[in-house]
Amino acid sequence: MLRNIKYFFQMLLIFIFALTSIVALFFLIFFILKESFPAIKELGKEPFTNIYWYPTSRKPEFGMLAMIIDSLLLTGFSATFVIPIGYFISFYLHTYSNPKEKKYIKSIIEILSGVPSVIIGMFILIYISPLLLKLEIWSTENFLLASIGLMILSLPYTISLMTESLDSVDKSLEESSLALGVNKYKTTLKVTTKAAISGILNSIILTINRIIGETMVVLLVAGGAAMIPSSIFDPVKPLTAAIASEMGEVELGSLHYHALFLAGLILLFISMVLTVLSKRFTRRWKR
Amino acid sequence: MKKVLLLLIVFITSFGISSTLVIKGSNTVFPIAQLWIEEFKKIHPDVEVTLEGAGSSTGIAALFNGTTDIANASRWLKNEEIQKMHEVGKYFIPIVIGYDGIAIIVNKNLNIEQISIETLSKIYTGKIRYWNQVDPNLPKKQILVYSRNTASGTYETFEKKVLNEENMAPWVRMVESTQFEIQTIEQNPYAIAYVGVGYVTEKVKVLKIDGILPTKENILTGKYPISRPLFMFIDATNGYPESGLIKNYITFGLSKRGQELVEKAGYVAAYGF
Amino acid sequence: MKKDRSISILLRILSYSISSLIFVFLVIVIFDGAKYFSTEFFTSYPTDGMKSGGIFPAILGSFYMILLSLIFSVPLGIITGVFLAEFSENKLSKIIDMSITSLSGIPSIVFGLFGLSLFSITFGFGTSLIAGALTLSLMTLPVISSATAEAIRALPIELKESAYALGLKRNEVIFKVILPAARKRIITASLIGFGRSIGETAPILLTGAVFYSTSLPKNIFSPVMTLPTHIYYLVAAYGESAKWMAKGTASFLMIFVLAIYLITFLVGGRRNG
Repeated sequence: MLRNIKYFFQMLLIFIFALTSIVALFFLIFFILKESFPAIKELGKEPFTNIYWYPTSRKPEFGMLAMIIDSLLLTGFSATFVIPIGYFISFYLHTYSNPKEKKYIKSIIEILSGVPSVIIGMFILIYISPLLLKLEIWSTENFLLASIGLMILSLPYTISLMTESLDSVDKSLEESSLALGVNKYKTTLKVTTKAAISGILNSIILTINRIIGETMVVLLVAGGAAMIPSSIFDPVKPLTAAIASEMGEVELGSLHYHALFLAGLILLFISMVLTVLSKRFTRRWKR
Repeated sequence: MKKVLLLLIVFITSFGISSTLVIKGSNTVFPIAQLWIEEFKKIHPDVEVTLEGAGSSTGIAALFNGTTDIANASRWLKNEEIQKMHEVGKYFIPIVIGYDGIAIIVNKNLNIEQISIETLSKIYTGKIRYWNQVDPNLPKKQILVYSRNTASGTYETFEKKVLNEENMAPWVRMVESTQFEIQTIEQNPYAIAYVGVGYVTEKVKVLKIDGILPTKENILTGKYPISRPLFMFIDATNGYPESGLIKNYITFGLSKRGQELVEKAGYVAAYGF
Repeated sequence: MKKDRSISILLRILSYSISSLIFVFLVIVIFDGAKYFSTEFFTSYPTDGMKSGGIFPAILGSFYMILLSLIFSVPLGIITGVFLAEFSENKLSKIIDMSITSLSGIPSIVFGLFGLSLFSITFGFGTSLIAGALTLSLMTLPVISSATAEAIRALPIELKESAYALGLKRNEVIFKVILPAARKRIITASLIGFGRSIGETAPILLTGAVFYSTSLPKNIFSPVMTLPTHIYYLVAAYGESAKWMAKGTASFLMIFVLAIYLITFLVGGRRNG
């Protein structure tokens, strides 16, 4: 009898606890939507068509277009470098490295993944930014520095995901290719990568998701100017930095406040789309 | 509305339980408040104080939300804030704690000594982008324009008195704090920024505005065109605090020692000469 | 074969250079900051405008925040992981899996917004330890849950089968057989959650942390100073004079994260070969 009661309660506990993730996600989406709604209602298309962000001036303008473009440009630029570099390193780890090398490199990459983003931002500001002055580049917080920070941050992600995908390919595929006389690099490139393509695409998507959602690095080194950059030394202000820096100063319930939630909604939407895409690829890959 | 009420109730009660003094607001007043708090704690060792300096607007907003006891401000209330006071039935009172001038600073190696208000305005609104447009003797280098972010009272004052409420150019870099601007100017020969005079160090050059330097005298007499009083705002809706933490803090701030500390922070004392 | 040699050399150079750069980075962060370590650094409050003193309140604040958040995220995470691994036939499991994956991809600042609107405002907790901890727990939930699910799936199936064969009911198999068997992995997962959350800044920036506090948090409704936010404020809001403290704090934080990784490694053994 007692056993049955225990069964009932413990199973109930499991169900309730497990539901929290759904509840949490639901409430998160709900609250972000709820708090963005006044901005959507009052501003309509403006955030997406206007490049001028003057939320506190006499004639306020809530154009987020410049910041959205900043976020996208930063992500695109950083990803363009990180993904190939990550791929090359995973390629090396999978194809050529001996077990000791692999272990060493993977450990150091994993340690990097644990470094808090605020420390990376601090490092760039304190050690790398002054180097720019020595090179007579007077813009000490800019697109390029932010991009470097983002690359440092996302590299471990890319490498570990891609290595995992490559490693999980059936060894027999590689062995047969090698047995046929194909050299190692071609094997990995043409055979393994193709077989692991969904995993690789998955890594790309997750890397992009990580970069676009990063806040602290860009808050510290991107420059804080909501403009579309014309050079990599121009300052920029991606959506994440705008939210973090301005949220502390808005009056709760003001249009500015709701507009920042709208920025959060845009980020949320992008990340959910990427997550769904990633899930599709993972399912195909894990099969 | 109901949410605000609930929040207020929770906060007023939680404040009743603890004896913490919460101070939020202006980044310009922050150094004064830090010095005051350090000495205040020596006099009242059982009191706890928390201090934030994200900007004047955050302090006033917090006063409305009931999340702060004292709002430091380097600007007066905006019209919308006064209107909101009427709407929600609150009554904030200002206490002048000192005077400040907004100094325009550039790197010591930049060959310029003074600037006019119109030129300054043109730089910040984006009509002028290169140093040689300011003075043909200067090199043709892009001006790195720095500003505080919009929460800052310094920003508001600058916007009002220099820009005449025109918008700043999108490439003006908004940073979180004055210290950061000072550091940048110290190292970057082509940057310009505006800061509370209390933050100025010997490592930066202060420009004369239309021939006038922001000295204590020029600020007090109003000769320097960008000067302003520094305030503490408190919520006096339920009456003026005649006793308690807030009153003790105010009394200390306006005392001889408190005003000495205002000067130590680099500003101009309001009382006690 | 020749192509293989040249490519492998090129890639080796690339991988080694990047690894060395990372190594150099870690060395700089840790050692350039560690030179500021002293008993005073770890046991006293910051004083004199961050020019001297220590980071004790930030260390304590971080600890409180993480521990409080783990109280929520560990049990929830473990049980969710159990559900995902053990009840995978259930349709609900797919939805939960999707939710967990979605949560793990959401930007940290969006969590901060959520925490602000739900815990700080609607629940009325304000800027407090509990608001920050709850927000953090939502972020660590997916990590712990996925790691637990993986750990359970890795258990030999005979373990479960023999338990059922002996007549144990589902809940008993879970709580008396599976969880104890996966104990090591679960502890590892919690440690990883701990390591991740101690460095998270964005979510607590909006919900739990303050610039500067003269006292220790009295209860879970007080705001706290934390290590990552302290680094942020020091770098963004203070200048040269506080650089030493930023470096020192970063070094300490980095050493701490490394220590957790080391413990994880020792307790759990490497998961990936």
